[in-house]
Amino acid sequence: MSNDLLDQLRRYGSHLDELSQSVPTGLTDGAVFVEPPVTVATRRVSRRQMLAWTAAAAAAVAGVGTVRWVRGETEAELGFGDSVRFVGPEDTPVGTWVRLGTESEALSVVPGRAASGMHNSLGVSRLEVWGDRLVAVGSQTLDGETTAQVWVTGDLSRWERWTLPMTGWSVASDVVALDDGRLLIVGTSRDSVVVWTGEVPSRMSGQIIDRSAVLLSGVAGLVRLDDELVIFAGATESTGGSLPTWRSADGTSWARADGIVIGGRGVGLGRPVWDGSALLAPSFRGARGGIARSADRGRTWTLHDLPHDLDAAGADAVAITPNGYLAIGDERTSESAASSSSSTGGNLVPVGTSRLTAWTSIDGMTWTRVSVRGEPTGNFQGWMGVASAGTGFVGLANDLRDGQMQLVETTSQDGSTWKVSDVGSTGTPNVIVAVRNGFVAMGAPAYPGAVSPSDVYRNVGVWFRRTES
Amino acid sequence: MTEIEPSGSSAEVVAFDHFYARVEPLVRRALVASLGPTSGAEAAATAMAYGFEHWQRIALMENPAGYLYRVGRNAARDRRKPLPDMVIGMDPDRGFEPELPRAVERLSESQRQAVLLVHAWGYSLSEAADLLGVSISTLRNHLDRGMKRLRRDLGANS
Repeated sequence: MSNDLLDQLRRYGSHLDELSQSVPTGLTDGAVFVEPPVTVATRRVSRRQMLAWTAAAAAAVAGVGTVRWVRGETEAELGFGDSVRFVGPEDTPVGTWVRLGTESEALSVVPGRAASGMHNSLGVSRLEVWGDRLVAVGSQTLDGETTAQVWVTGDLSRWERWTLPMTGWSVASDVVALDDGRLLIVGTSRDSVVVWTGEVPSRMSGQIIDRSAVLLSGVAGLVRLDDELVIFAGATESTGGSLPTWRSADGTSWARADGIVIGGRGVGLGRPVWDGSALLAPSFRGARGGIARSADRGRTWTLHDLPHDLDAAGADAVAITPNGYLAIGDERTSESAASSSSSTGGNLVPVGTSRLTAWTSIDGMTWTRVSVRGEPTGNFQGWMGVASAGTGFVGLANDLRDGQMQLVETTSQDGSTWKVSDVGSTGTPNVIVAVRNGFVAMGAPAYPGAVSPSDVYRNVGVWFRRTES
Repeated sequence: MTEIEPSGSSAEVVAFDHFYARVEPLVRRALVASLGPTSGAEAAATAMAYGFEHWQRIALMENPAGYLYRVGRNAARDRRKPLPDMVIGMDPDRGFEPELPRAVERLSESQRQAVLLVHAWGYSLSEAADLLGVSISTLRNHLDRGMKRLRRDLGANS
């Protein structure tokens, strides 16, 4: 009996080893951000601890779990033993944006390298729902080399990032989830247009579909038109009104078939949207912007003005509404093309005025201006993005007040009346998408002009806003 | 991808990695014996992270594993989980009596540590005593009492 018990204990020991090693162990580097109310940063922590922190933060904002971690204190680097309380679900009201950091992005921080003149950075171009996950695409610059990136998460707490295969400089601009489960990512590599496809983000294959595209401003977007996929260049050719496009029925074989923008020499295009009969996209030439519309699947485009009270106006994005279309953008005085700022972290100095504006239209050609005003009102405002869900529109914007760029939220039921409110966070989330239980935004955790270049874009910030079920 | 070296030199990091590979299983097992597999692994991760943060001091210690075990044990002290859960993940084909985990759980913490470290994982009395900061005779006492109680509890079935 004794030998039998000893033998059983040895097997039980192996079983306990398996259980205790079944979670990530080992040490890793990185940082976790939870804001508000605090930013937590740490140096080397256990991998398990890191995951616990991010999971706890995500659970808190998603309202799906309890938060019991107590550690960390201020924005400064923390030692072990410091403590702070994460805000639990009961303290996180619906409608609060909470910024989450992610482990994978934090891992790419390379202290000291940026000071040598290399602007190490991460940038997200597009965020999309992919089944029950989120997929984002963008680029990373590290030690002077820029590579296309894809991020995937299923729960906002754990993110995985892969470099898309392509020799030399490359960026990913847009992504579409195909019906057969494949991801289709489009981007550029120097003068070439590139398409990456695959069912698994870690094993995407890249294909150059046009080696001499020489795009003036990259790819504006990848749009699915019922039975056809179309890649739109971000600008017409400067010598004419031709808008390069690439078309495919299956995402594998692509053919170039340019469109024409009437009167559109040198016109830039934003990401088009398709409502089943027409394509609409923001358009701009110099400081002036409008809306481009095509009723023949992008073969010919017409340009339409946006009414404005100040000297100029421009749209950042177009969305489809139940009653027609919505465009978001800004109107501005002529001297406000930029705000000057100190590159060493000093206060931002506004030059002129820029105001958040929205426009609505029934037909996509005639547009009505809608004021977007709220309690927090600085004199330099710009949209970060907008997303629509069943409950209406939710957007994010920057508002310059007292020399500091604040993140504000814009909400509207139908696009015709807007409410603006403070988010209580900073940063530059440039993509936003609606998910089942809220909205997710990604972008830079800091305003680019407000901090030194070496600190900009080291991490990708992730924001989450829960909506009522 | 280039890795960060947030603190310490490369040589220190390498030295710690070697230390980690050698000591982590011992610290983790002792904490698993005290707290159960989930909380024990968590406490071990905390202890080893602490070890890295304070590596310059830890490296000079005579009994760093024992010190980190106590760090982990103290870190777990404020976790309000009164009993270790030694039976999670059970399945009938593990090759041990289904009642064994529950019987181990009923042992005192000291008995459980002694029984598991010595008989489940094969550490010597000297290694286990050093780690737990007790004398060999004390450890042997816990071991004997623990085994006696296990035999009694499982007697009919083992």
